Amino acid sequence: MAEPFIRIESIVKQYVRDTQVLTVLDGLSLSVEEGDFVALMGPSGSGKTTLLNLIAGIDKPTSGRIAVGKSEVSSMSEAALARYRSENIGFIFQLYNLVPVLTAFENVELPLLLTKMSRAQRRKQVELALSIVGLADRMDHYPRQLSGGQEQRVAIARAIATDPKVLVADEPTGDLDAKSGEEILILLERLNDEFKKTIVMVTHDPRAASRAHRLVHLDKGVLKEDIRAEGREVGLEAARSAVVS
Amino acid sequence: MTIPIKYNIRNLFVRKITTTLTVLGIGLVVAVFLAVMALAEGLTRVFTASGSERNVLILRQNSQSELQSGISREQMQLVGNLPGIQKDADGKPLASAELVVVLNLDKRDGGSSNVTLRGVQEKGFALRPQLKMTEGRMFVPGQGEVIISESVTKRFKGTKSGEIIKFGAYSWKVVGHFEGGGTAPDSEIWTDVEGMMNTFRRGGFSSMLARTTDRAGKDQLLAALSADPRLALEGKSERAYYDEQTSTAAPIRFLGFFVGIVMAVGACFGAMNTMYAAVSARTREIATLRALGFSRLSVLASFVLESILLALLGGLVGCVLGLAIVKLALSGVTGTTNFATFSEVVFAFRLSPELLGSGIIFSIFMGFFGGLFPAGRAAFTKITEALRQVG
Amino acid sequence: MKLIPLAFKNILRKKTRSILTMASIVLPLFVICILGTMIRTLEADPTGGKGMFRLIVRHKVSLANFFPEAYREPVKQMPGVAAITILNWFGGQYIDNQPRNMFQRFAVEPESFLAVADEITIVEGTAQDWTSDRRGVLVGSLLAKRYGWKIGDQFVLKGDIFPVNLELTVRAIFKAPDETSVYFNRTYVEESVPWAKGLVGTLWIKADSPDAVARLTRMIDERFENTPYPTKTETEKEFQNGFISMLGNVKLVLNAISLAIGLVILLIAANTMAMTARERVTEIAVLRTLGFPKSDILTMVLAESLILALIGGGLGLAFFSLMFPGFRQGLLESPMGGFAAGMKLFPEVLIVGFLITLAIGLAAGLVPAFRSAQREITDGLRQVA
Ligand SMILES: Nc1ncnc2c1ncn2[C@@H]1O[C@H](COP(=O)(O)OP(=O)(O)OP(=O)(O)O)[C@@H](O)[C@H]1O
Ligand SMILES: [Mg+2]
Repeated sequence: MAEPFIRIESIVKQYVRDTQVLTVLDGLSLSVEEGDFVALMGPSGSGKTTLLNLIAGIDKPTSGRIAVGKSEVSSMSEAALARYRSENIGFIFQLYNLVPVLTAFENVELPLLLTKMSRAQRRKQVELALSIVGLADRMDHYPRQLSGGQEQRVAIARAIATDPKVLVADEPTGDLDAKSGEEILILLERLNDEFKKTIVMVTHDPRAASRAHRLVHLDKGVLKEDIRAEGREVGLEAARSAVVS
Repeated sequence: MTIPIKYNIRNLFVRKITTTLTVLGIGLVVAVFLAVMALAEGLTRVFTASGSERNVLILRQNSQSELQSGISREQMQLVGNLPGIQKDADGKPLASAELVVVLNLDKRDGGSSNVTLRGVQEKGFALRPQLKMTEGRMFVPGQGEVIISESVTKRFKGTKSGEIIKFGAYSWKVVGHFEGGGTAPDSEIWTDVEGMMNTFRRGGFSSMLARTTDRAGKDQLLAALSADPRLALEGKSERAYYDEQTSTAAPIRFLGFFVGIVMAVGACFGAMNTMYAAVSARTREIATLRALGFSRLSVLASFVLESILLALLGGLVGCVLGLAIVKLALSGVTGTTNFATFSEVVFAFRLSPELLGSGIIFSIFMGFFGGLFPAGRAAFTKITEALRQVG
Repeated sequence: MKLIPLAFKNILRKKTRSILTMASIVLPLFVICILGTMIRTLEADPTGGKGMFRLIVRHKVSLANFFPEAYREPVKQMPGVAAITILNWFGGQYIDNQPRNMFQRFAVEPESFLAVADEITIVEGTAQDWTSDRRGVLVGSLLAKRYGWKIGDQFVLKGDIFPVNLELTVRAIFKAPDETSVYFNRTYVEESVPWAKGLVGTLWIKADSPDAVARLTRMIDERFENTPYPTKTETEKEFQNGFISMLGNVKLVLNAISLAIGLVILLIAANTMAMTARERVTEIAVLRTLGFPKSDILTMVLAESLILALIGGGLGLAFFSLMFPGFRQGLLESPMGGFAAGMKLFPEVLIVGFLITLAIGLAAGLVPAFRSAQREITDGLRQVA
């Protein structure tokens, strides 16, 4: 069997505050197959965001190894990490974090500025990404002229613009109403299905988690439960039970 | 209902960096303004402190200063007999005919400047009771000896007691120092007039200073002077003579105001920036206050007050900075040339309490104008909209 | 570099702030330029370089003392003297003592005067008209314009040092680097003021070579060292600088004020950049998450600071260039009129102004730029704006 795509091996993440050492992740190991859709759950403060940040290469572990594809993320330099993020990772935030002075088009184009693409190529790519999220007609709108759900869809377009292998999402539906949340989830499923993106999504919402293929439950920095879907989705029941336990 | 001032003070402390930068900016403006004005004030003070209302200075008609004037020995005799002049215990008029010449001396900090050498008659000292000998002794007439003000000694080379001032064939021995309480003689070198006339081969004097008996005496003397066209002299009170010279400080004062105001406008914009940022960061807070029932006016007042507090802090920093500059860096005497007399006026920077007060008022103005528009924006935001705004 | 367009957009985002920041640069920079022009004027040689070859001899005690005219002959015989003339400061007043009526008045010896003052070009009337009229006066064209003097016009100078009222007739008008003086025949003064006869304020000498300048300075002063009228000889340039040094340390004062103004602008600009950077902590963290390297962030924040400063500074310099002629005109009528005559729109001042702007832009953005680039991404993302 081929090696898993994301390999996390006994990582420890500690914060030192004054003399106190806070261990957020405590020797956690986790592998994610290429094309998988993983939901990361757990109580507040359990280290979900921290783990996600480590995978995305915006944070460094205290010890342990993280590798994504051919990239040895945990031993990379600052500059290499920046390139890694730009080429391999699409990040989706809870609060969308679009740049307010840029239009939807320009926001999506932003990560493409880091590639060698020509202006025309970038344009094509942005239009493609926006049409995938269904906002091709909103290209020239500024973030404040969009609804929350639309903003998040633009953010997703931005995340997929460079065609990265991995999408990480931190509570992507956390700030949305049920209907908009649902649209986002459908979109993520489609990106996983159709575009073969490997997705790691942090969520508190069992309904969101139920759409994933695999559910990882974190508690106090250790892996507590790891449920794999029998069918296509883990299902609501498993997700609910994860929250309760 | 007014919003407690505590609220403003805390907010100033919360924005440490911005507050510090704004305070420093305003402080620097105030400090520069104070330093320049202290220069002007120090210079002005020399003239305003000099000259008595009862002393009358007699010059040739049309002369702007003693240096341009000339009085012959005969004229001197005639003037001495004019009415209104006080008689001394010895029955002689309390008057001194004097000769002024400027000496070009080297300054201690480089360059050179003209210093007034004044030859006086015996009564010259009685006419200027503010003079005190501080070191050495009085000159002996006819011996080529001089006494020099301490301020001049501080500024010019070779003017210490015991040293000899030499210009080719001319030389004077420095035998003592005096101090004139910040008045005009503090910029001068004194010797006896007869010896000096010999040295310079002059047959006449430059001017005459006479003490009048009282106000009536003064008017009498002035009238007598102008009544005699053959004399071709004019008199004015010593005070008036020096008052005319205060214009020497005018360019400095102008520079002070010009630079001060222009910089204040800049600093005002800076304060405005800070306050706009403060207002926009607190939009929700303001709306909440309004929802709680605080009026527009109290919101407006609160923000203007905050801006004034900010500027006031700057004003205080400026005063401290100004005081430090003037007391530490500029504590010695300095000088400039009074082109009316073509000679150096030695003076000290003077940062009076009034000046410090004007610095504070200046900063309050900056705060007021800097805060007005941002406060207006705060007061007129719509509550509903503001409450909806995120973060 | 990729994020520079974003820097522009950020400036447009907070319009009020950007405008206020730029505006706060415009006026102070204007003042810095004016002070710079003054400093530069003080340093300038009013004789247009000729002062290096010319000497002024005065009484050693001070300029206000006279020495005998008889000194001229022995000096004239010294090797290296190309021309020599007498130049006496007259003082006096024209109409009144208002600043606009102040200019320099000299009693000279016309023929030899023109030989030494070779920077003077007579543009109206002729040298002959002036030298042949004992009561004639040669006036600077700036003064002629100011008072509306034409050839043949008469005016009166009231004397003070020399108690005489001179009734002068304009015979010639000149152009020169300094056009704020009038020159008339000293014999007219001597006729009316007997004691002034044979007295000289300064001798003005043109040397025939640079070597002669140093040699003559020494020779002349040694020659008269032990007479009742010792002399001091210096180059015209040194002589002019002497006046400036008499004013006190003006250059230091002007420099110190300029520095303080520069610091004030810096503080205002730095404040803006600090506020801007702080409000964008999250946004910058997002950019870095997208893969933009630290250097791009640094460049973006610095660029924003530089753009703000350069626009403000550019406006300031433009404003200065535009206002300068009017400002100079105004100053000409003020107590500083004589000084203002030497003021020009010096290109160096504009260059220094530009460099100051550049320095302020860089310095104001430096700390926020580094802090923005160095901040941990996770830190930035956690911050609620
Ligand atoms: N920079 C930091 N310094 C100190 N402690 C930190 C830092 N970042 C995170 N932590 C701590 O690490 C722990 C895990 O944080 P993390 O954000 O990963 O939690 P989470 O599972 O995402 O929680 P939530 O569901 O509330 O988002 C928390 O206790 C948090 O306080
Ligand atoms: Mg989290």
